[in-house]
Amino acid sequence: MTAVTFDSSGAALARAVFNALLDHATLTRAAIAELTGLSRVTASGIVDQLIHRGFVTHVGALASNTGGPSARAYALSDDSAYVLGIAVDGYRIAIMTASVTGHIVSRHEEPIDDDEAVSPAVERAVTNEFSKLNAPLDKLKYIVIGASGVIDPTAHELAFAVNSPSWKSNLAAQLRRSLRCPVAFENDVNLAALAESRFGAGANVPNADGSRADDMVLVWLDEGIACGVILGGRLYRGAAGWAGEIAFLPAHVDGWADFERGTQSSRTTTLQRAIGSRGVVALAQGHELDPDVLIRHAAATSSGETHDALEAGFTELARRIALAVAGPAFVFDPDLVVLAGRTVRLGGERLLERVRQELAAIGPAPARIALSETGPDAILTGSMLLALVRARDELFEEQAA
Amino acid sequence: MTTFEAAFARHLNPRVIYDQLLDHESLTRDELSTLTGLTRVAASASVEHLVGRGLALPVETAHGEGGPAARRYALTPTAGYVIAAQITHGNVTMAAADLTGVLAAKLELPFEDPDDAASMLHRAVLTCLDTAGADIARLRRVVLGSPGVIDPRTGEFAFASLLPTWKHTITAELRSSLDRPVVFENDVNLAAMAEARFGHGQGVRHLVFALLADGLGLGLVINGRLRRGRRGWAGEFGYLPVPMPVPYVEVDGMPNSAHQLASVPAIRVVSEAMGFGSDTAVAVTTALAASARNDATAEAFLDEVARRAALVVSHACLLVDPEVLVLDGPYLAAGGDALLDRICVAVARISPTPVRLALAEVHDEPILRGALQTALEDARETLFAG
Repeated sequence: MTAVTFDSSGAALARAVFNALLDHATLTRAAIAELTGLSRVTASGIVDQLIHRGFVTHVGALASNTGGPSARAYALSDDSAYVLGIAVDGYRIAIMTASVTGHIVSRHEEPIDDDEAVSPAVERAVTNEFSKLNAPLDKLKYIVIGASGVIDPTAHELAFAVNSPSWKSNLAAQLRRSLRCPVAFENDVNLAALAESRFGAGANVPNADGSRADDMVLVWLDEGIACGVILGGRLYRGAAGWAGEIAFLPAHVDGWADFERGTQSSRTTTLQRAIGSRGVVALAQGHELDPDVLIRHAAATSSGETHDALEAGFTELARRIALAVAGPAFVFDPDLVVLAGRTVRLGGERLLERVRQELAAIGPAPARIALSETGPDAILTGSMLLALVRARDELFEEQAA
Repeated sequence: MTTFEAAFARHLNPRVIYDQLLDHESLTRDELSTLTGLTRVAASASVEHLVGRGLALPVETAHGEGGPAARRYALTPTAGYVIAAQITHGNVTMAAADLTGVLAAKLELPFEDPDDAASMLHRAVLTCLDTAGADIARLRRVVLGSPGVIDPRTGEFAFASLLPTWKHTITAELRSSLDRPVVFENDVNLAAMAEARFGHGQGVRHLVFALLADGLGLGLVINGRLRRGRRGWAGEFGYLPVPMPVPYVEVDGMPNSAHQLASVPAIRVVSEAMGFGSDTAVAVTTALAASARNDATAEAFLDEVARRAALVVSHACLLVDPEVLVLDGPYLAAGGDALLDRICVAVARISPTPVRLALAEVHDEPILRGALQTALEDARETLFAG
């Protein structure tokens, strides 16, 4: 344990004042002192520093309720610094700009047809946005790029990707050079989990005793599958960024070839092949159903044959999702498991209910499960959130130095 | 001083000084100031605070030739005690230690009547304290290790495999009869703590301990702290649905679960079928000797054992991604590095994570050691809380 001295707590004190203003929008110096537990002299000194650095402005006066002179009021400046959240996959790039105070300034999206287009697209969007804001580029403090793949948790660089187009390896370096700003990669599902924990089911579905669901696992079921793990309200990435990469796990599915030579099983595959979108399509085809009809559990015709196929297919779909949920549920025993991704968006409550039944058959004390409440911008929102956290960390470390 | 600053001075600084005194036999104020980075004034104030609370004391030192030596301080061993126990079928091993971690008493008792558990444990705690020469008022924490699932919200068993009658009230009974802080803790979690503090977990942030024995269990030590899960079920991975060989012989427990694949009863079925007998440890030892002579059946048996262990272990690799995953259990211990190598190969076929697999290093009463360590850490934590 290292000693905590008063000198090095300067950054923590400035952070405390910043947070008080984030929570309350407008405050007097006296109110800041009271909220942070700082002395009025210390609080005032920090307010002056923050004004000097452009983070805080004087916004008018609040009438005194004791009949004395009115007190000057302060607020955070929205235009002091900005961050960028980026979500990118093989088809499109989405960019969200936010002020360091957390206000979303713009959202921009464009299709990308080849790898070469990614970096110029980001640069173009940033240039346009900053000229519209009439802000110099050095006010851009942090960029987080959400993409699929395993991200080294210390270097924030891509460590492993199943499909690695060239932009993935070059993008961060290019943007660092051209925009002169820290750039970090983060796993897309981790970012969706972060957004879910802050704004989605993690915030809206409390525990039975009313406490917040601080331990939350997001199970992402889309083209690819993975988990984002939130422990104690913070993203848990594991030692090398692999936590929650359930796609590789062996799964028991009828009709699949051996996943591994020498196995005695003839029904083993991986969770990715069982419940990734291609697996779902294969499952639907096996029952001669349209995949969307299967996931929605809704057939246009109601012939007995279709009905039986739909029941069998839907149960198998729910069983495979339960397999994906069982791992994180039994290993972490979180407050809440949230299902997200395209498969779950289509399946909705009906699918959720069936997954609950299948999970209850696997073992005792099944985890609480809910549907995602974040919508299609979860990854983008998560990257913006993480960029905000990192930017604020850097801003206040800089102040301490 | 502001409230913010005062909070540092009241709680954090004494804690920092306390931790230094834990690591050293005795220290002067100057040495404490140098080691902690606190000013000499702040360090002295914290020493006085600890002395005032009876947690530290000046110790006698030999005077040097050139005048009086600076006064040295040490922790007061008798300032507090903890008790820890390992409870198994028919047997309780209990130990008392002072707050500096020195063992003060140890006893073993038969444990036959589950209905008498609360009063038996109560008497054992008193006997242990008596042997240690400690007053019950100085008892700061009791940690009792047992199989089962303990709900961290209530402290009571949600699932007690050892003694079904413990359910719901045993912790409350002991807390009320001893009037001291008492917790039960899952035995695998405590073995994980022992491994984290005294074994492969030293200097590691995330460790997973996997016990493959009569049942399966994981202990998760993440960022140096035990994670029990919301309801105490974290690591109960015996229930995990996994692909099974076709056909397989079912043992007691959930069908198609990890338990059917890699528990000792499940491995026993394989061992008996392949002619290696019913003791899985002996079977693995025998097979390893035979495989050195290129015995094909032995090879097949070892590969099957490794493949089964790897299939369940890879879940922990891909879900938790620890730096080190420590394996323990009768057939794993018997198999040593030779079997571990086969398991590593089989894990690498499933999981691309760069995890280090290792066999448990703490062999001497790991559950009791983990319980003692947990009790000590919790007790020290409460000294400086609030």
